[in-house]
Order: sequence, then structure tokens, then C-alpha cells
Amino acid sequence: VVVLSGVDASLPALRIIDDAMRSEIQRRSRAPVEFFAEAFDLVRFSETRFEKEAAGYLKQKYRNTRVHVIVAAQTNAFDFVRTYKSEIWPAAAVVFHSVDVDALKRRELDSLTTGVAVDQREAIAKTIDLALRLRPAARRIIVVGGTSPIDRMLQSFAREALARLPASISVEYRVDEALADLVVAAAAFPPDAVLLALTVYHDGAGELRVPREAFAKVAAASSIPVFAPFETFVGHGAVGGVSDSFPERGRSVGALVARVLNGEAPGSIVPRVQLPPPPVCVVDFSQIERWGIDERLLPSTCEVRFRTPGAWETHRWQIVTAAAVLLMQTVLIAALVLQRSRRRRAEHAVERQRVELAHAARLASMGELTAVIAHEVNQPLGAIMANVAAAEMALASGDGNLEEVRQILADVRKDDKRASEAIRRLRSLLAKNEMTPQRVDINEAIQEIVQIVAPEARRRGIAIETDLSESPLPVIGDRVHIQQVLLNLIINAMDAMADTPAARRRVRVRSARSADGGIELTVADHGHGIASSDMARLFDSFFTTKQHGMGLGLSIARSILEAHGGRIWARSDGAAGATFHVVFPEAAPGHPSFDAGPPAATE
Amino acid sequence: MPTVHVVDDDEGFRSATTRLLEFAGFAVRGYESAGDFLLSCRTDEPGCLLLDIAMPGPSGLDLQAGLQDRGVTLPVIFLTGRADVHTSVRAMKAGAMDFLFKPIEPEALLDSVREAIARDAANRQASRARRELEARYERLTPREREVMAGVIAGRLNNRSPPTSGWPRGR
Repeated sequence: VVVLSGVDASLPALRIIDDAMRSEIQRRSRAPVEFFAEAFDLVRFSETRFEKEAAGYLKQKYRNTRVHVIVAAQTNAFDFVRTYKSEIWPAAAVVFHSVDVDALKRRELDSLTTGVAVDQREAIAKTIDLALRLRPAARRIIVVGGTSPIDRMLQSFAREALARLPASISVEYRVDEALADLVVAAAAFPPDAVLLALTVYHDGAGELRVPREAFAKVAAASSIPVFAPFETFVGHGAVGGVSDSFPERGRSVGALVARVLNGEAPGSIVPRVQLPPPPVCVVDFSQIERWGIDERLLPSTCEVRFRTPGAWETHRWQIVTAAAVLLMQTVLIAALVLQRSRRRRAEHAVERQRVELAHAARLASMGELTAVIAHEVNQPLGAIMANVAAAEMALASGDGNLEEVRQILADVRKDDKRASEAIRRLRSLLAKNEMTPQRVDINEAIQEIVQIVAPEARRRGIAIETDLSESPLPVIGDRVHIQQVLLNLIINAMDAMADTPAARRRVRVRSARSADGGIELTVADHGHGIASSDMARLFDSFFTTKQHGMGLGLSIARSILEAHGGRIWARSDGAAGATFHVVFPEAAPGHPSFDAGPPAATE
Repeated sequence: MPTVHVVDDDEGFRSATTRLLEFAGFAVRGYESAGDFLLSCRTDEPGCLLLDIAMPGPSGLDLQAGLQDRGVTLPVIFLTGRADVHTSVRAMKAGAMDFLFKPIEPEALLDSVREAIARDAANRQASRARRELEARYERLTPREREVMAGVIAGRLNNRSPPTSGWPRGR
């Protein structure tokens, strides 16, 4: 089989057709087939003298080769074969393809000839329809093309189709320009237009072109979407088009060639001139996206190429694996989070209980200090009442001693402040607060607690002595809880001295920096001491040596110390009493709460 | 002039009470502690004692007991900031005039003080009469005392037999 191309054989369309044809022939032919390819590019080199010389060359070349079928691709090649076949391959059958139906009507077919015609009118008309469908707002169609006979023929088909369009759509032909000018012009095409690109074998400047390359240049520069009735242009800048399928055309030709090779006489094949399958719509998805074309406008029969494959299509297994790993991680994380939140809930519950318990214990401790409330509040109230009565008398006596009254009022104010200050101190201890860590000066905390306990101590005939360091001793912690520890230790100390002779009833509270850098405070008494058998259980919950004790004071004190990163321990001096030691870590100067100044008054 | 002695460690309360009593026309002296009172007070003067119970050092109850030991009869009115049955019973048993809870109604305080001073006056009146009686008795000769005893027993004074040192039927 000699395949004779009237165009450059490397043209994309031709190669697709050729490949499909050859594989179809190989598939169907009973005998092995040998192919020879000849291309003369008669479209671009169309001089008669050259054709004659080409014919002579082929005659020489194939004089010893038996050729059964000549495949003539394109009208030029078909005409060449019709003219020179009798000289070169007189016995061979001729199978043409890609010859326009109109051209065939003007040519007689001898008995050795058959082939596949092409009708590009339909493809062009449908491409125009497609363009207007996808760009409903378009008011203008610009047709670009070349000057070669084939270019002109396709342009004439386009004119026919465009003539049927409504008048509202204008048509502009840019078919006589140099390709370079066309490319420049394409960049500035008005936005209400669409471009219909036809072949440019020969541009207006007389340059020979490969149509698809010429097209790609125009399409790349174009300011508007480009449509083309050639499948091969899709993927090179065309939004799409309706075109014959080149592989289909190739297979049709191949089938015909095989039939001839297998013995059928071309003249007996019906129909002698076959038509390829109807043209199909092909669009480029990337162009659809580029021009923002609504995908729903696409005809359902349209083949969409270059659709960006979804991640699922390209990476199915990676996705499945990743998803599985992710799922496992998620489950693991969820489990950990669940566990963590459970633990935090539990911790929170414990913390809450600790706060509740500490509060309850504080209330119990304060209950033992009933004298405190009475003394701290009633004392100033009593003074106020007496002062007010005195002022009334001063005023009633009428001697107008205002200075005296002023002095009385000043005293009233002083006592009123004293009462409210006492209430504030007590309330901060009685309130139930979450732990709020802040900078607390241990010395201040001690002084305040000693003030609170003083009335009760007095009632019991106990002296409370303080021996505090001169410099402040800052720790980070909850003021109320720290004071609760102190309160507990002092009350315990006082309780222990119920049977101590009056002269020895002294509680001594000391504060100092400890040797290991912490802050230590001690509460020492002259009470009955701690039995060595009780030492081990001293800080256990519900362990008490008091008749009405709950056994919580020291255990709460220890838990408060632990929450502050501190320690508490006791030492018994036998009959001479007991000393409780408490050590807090010192607040580092860099601690955020450290420089916050003195802690705000607790409400 | 009877003096009201106010013993209370609370300076605010003490001065207010002092002021009130002064306006009410009493002579008043204030003391910060039981010890202060014992050091500077002339217990033979008429008056009464307003005594806080809870004080540093000796308590009000301690002072009351101490004064009784010394035979000081100043009426004592206790003042306290808290209701404590045990303490108040002890105080009343020991002869307290009154037991007042702070904050005290000024009228109640004044009434109580007036009553205490009146009782002190009565006490002093009674003890003066008794001391006079005792002095007279001291002046009797032994025989006169015997006769006195006989008269108290209901005999005629010329019939009273000598109990000792005197020969019968003289």
C-alpha cells in the first residue's frame, strides 16, 4: 500500500488518520501488508511542473514494486493520482480519503477507485452553533483563516452557515492577513465576539503554515474564546468545536483498503463513496473554565477533554491509605482527648471538692472562733452607739460644743471603718473561692490571721507572739487558702494548751527564709505535744485527737500545701509542746504575678 | 462624787463609753487593763465598775474575784461582746450587778450604772452603820458585853449572871 499525501504528512490530523488506517488495515487484511508513504505537500507546492517531476520520481521509485492499493489523502493527492496513476501504478486500486463531497461530484470515479469523502459543512455549521450556545452573549463572530484553496473552501462553508444566522449577529472575516498581524489583532478582539478559527495553510503574507501551529498562535493571543471545527485544535487553545473524528475517518479508510486488499473490486463496493461517521462535539475543559463558561450549557453529547481529573481519580489509593491513617489517628486522638477530658473532669471535680472541703473546714474553724465575730464587730458597734448617744446629749445640752461633737463623729467614723474592715477580713475567709494564685506576702497573711484570732486567744487567755522577718516573704498562692493553713495551725495550738498553766499559754508564729531557699513559717505552742503514736497519722483525713474534731484541718492543710508546691510537717517537743513547720517555694521574681504589686483586696 | 470606772482594752469602746457617761453627769475614769485599774484605783471611793470580760492579761472575771478577795465592794457591771452562758452565770454568781452585751443601748447602760451607784451608796451607808456599831461594841468592857449578850437573850440587865471571873451571888 502506498499512502500518498497531498499535504505535509506530519500534519497532526493526517497522522492520526494514517495511524488509525494502518492499524485497521493490519487488523483486517488476510495477507501481510507493506506500507510506503509519499508526501508532496501539494497544497503548498502546487505547481504543475513539480507534479510532473514528482510523478516521474515515483515511477522510477516503484518500477520494481508491486503496489496493490494507493491511498490518496486529500483532494490534491487524489487529483494527482487520477492524473498520473496510469503512468506510475496502472493496475493499482485507489482509495481516497479527506476529499470533499463537492469536489467528488465534479470528478468521475473509475472502476478501480473507492474512498471516504468528507463533508466539512456540517462540522463548521455545528461549530458555529456550539460557539453561540456556549457564549450566549456573543454579538459578533470573527472568522480567521488562510489564503490557500483549502483555506478558501472551508471559508466558503463557513459563509454558507453564517449567512443563516440572525441579523443581530455580525460577522467579520480576517482571512487575508499575515499571521503575525492576526496574532496582534487577536489580542484586542472585542469581548462580545467569538472567534471561529479555520485552517491557515497559507497566510495573507504568502507564508506557508502548519494550520494547527498557526491556530495555536492566534488562540494564545486571543482576547475571546476560540472555536474550531477540527478535533486536533482542541487542546491547543480551542474551547471546542464540532469535527469529524480523525481516528474514525482513519478506521473507515482502513476498512475500505482491507476489503480491496482482500479481493473485492473497488467498483463493486457499495457505496463507492463512503461518508465518515457524523461529526462529534469536543470541548477543552480547561478552556471552559478559563472563559468562565457555564458547564451546564454544554450539549450532553459533547466530549469533554482535559477535565482536571479529581484528586480521587488520580490518587485513589493514596487517598484511601491517607484516609485510613487519618481515621486511625482521629480515633486515637479522639480517644486521647476523651481520656484527657475525663481526667480533667476528674481533676476538676477533685479540685472542686478540695475547695468545698477547705471551705467547710474554714467555716468549722471559724465556728470555733465565735468570739471573733462578736468581738470584732460588736466592739466598734458598741462604741458607735455610745458615741452617738453622747453626741445627742451634747447637742441637747445646748451649750453648742461643736468641737466635741466633731470629735465624736470622727470616732464614729473610725469605729465604723474598724467594723467594716473586720467584716471584710472575715468574709474573705468565709467566702468560697476557686484557687486564685497571686503574690502573697506571708508576713501580711500572718498579721491578718493573728488579728482575726486575737479576740479568741484573749478569751482563752492565750498570748499570740509573732516573730516575722523584716523583709516581705513573697509566695505565689491563694491568699485565703494560705491563711486557712495558718488559722488551722493556730487554733490547733490554742486547743492544745487548754490545760497549760496560764503563764505558759503562748503561741509563737515565726516566718523566715529557710536554708534551702524556701519560705518557712512555724507555729509553736506549749501544749500537750503530739504522742509519737499519732505522729504518723497526723495529716490523715479523719484523724483527730480532739473530742469534737473532724480530723480534716491538717489533712486539708497538707493538700493546700501540696497544691502550692510546699510542705508541712510537725515536731513534738514532748510535754513542752509542738511545732508545725510550713515551707512554701519562694515566688521567683520573674513570675508574672510577682510584679503585679500587692494582691487586690479579696471580695 | 461617785466615780464610774471603765475597764476595757478596746480604746474606741472605752473612750466612747467614758464620753457617754461624762455627758450623763458621772465622774468617769478609764483603764486599759485589770492591772491598770488595780494600780491606780482608790477602791474606797464610791462608784461602780464597768468591766470588759475578755482582755489581755487577767480577765474581767479574774479582776472581780481579786477585788472580792480584798473586800472591795464596788458593784460590778460586766460588758461583753459575746453571749456566753457559762461566763455570765459565773459572773452573776460572783455577785455581779449586771451583765450587758455589746453593743449596749445607752439608756440601759445608764440605768444600770445609776442602779449600781445607788447600790454602792446603800452598801456604803450600811457598812458605815455597821462599822459604827462595831466601834461602839469595841468600846464596851467585858462585863458590858456580857450584859449586852444577856439583854439580847431577853434577861433583865441587873439579872444577868456573870459568866466568868465574877463570883456568883455577889
